[in-house]
Amino acid sequence: MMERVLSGFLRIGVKFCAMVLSIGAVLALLAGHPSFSPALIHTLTSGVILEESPREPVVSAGIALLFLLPVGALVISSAFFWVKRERSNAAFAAVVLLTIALSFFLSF
Amino acid sequence: MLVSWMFELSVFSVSVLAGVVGSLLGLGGGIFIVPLLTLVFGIHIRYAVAASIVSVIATSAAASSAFVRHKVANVRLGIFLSVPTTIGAIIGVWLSDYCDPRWLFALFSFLLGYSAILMFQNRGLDKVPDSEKYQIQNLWAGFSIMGVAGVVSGLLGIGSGILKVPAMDTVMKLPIKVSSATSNFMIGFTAAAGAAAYLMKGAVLPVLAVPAILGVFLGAKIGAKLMTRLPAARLRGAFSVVLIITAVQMAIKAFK
Repeated sequence: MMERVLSGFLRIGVKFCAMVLSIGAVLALLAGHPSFSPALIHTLTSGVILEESPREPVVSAGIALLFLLPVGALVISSAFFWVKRERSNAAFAAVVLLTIALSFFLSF
Repeated sequence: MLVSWMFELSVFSVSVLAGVVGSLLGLGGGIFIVPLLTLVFGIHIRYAVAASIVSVIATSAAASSAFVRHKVANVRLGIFLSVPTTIGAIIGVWLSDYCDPRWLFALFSFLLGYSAILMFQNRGLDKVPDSEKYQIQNLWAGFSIMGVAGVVSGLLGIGSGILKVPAMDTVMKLPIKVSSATSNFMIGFTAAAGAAAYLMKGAVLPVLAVPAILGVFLGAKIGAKLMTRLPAARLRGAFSVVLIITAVQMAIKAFK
């Protein structure tokens, strides 16, 4: 049961994410959005990390959806482990989830 | 505008190629994306690594859905071993700040060379049948190696399947198919931890990441279909030469 739910979630999630990213990229290119500007391409060779990189809303949503795939898989696994009384496995899934969450808040 | 379109299309095409080759060789696209972006387009390695690690999440999710459905991937083991890989990935991203880009090129070159040797040795592996029952051995040794694989993943923007699969196959004595499927399942978590840190640093630029994600994803699908028609075992031998050439190119970039 867990495997079927996980697999279905990942399969649908990937397709939806690819669709959102494709639409976002085409819209951004057509609108000449700064996140897809030729000027930005030139900075790519410099290696200077931008403090505030320009973001295009649909593309950002697509990238956020991409992060939701492993996070969602962990939440699903953790819930199934909890219901099956596999508490240690549920705890490991929670630790991985927390580590991913932590990496969003760490500033190097 | 025209430059932007051309650049996007070029990165997309190169990523499709990386996805096809990566899928045929069972390495994922990440290990080819970084050399292609840096050597062909002259992109700085930090941006190439960030774009690559984001694309790795997509390929892992796409590939592991089938492995999980057919119960080839060991979900419990994968989640347990993701604890050290995700922590390692964050350490890898942190280390990348203090690492001279030339060292990153050198490390990448070493890893490509190692992959080539491993691939050449395993070129007849497709014929080896897998036993259905298995018992996990040396769990803590495997756990430690996964930590190192996570650091490498965060540093170089790859899934580190090239380290994870031998750790499970050779050290933990898992069948090769289970090792490969479980590694694929784990890679998404490792990459998510590393990619989140790169995203917050502002290194994930949509102009580079989006065509890389879509390209590798499409390439991996094409590669998976081609795999049934092409002699993958023989291809491994041939592509090990390509990996050696890329390793030399990366080494030249490191010591130039």
